[in-house]
Amino acid sequence: MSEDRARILNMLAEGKINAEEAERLLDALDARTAAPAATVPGLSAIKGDPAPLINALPKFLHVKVDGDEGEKVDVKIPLALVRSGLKLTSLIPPQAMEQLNSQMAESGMSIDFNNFKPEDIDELIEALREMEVNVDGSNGERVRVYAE
Amino acid sequence: MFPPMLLYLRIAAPDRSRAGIWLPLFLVWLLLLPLVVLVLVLALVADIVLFVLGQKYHHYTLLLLRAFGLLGATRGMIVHITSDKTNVDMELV
Repeated sequence: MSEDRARILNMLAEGKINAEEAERLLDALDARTAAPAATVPGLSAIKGDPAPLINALPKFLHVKVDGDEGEKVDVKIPLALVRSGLKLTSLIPPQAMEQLNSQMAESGMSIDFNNFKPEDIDELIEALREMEVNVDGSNGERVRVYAE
Repeated sequence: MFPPMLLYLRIAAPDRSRAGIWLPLFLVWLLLLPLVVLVLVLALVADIVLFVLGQKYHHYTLLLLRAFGLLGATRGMIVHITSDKTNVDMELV
């Protein structure tokens, strides 16, 4: 289930929209590839323009861990933190950036932060919309990571 | 973007319900404000000197401002940890 569909169903479950409006939103999602959300008939009649809902970037990164002995961890991280962190990397002094890149390479992560451009940030966060990581351990532990 | 103003913190044993506390982080920022202003002024002076000397990198002021923006981006962070011995709830508002 895509995050947009899950969001619409959550709104229906919370009573923020009724079944008819939910159906229109789901139809709009299906028709999104054929036409912009704003031109789909009937959408404008829904209270609170749904286009921002459909086209909004994910705002939080959720990390949920259920341990095998009952322990649970639930972390909600604002994606604005990722955005600010990436913008910050573009201003790190060159000599510090070289050290950072070499340390990352020694740790097995060949990432050159010089290549991150602020205009790529929205694209990166948009790509997180469909990201979902589900890990089920052999002892019953579960890890779930997704953006919403 | 403003830094988080309040920190909600609750640490309790699973079998005991204990109310959390709200810590006024804005008081901490107010106390640190003179130091922050001083550091920004020094960074600005450094940037001007580096620019006059023709150095390629002279963005320390902007770097500090972006670092403060990073702090502001932590607003809305929520952490819930549940274990057999301790439950921890933390929220930055």
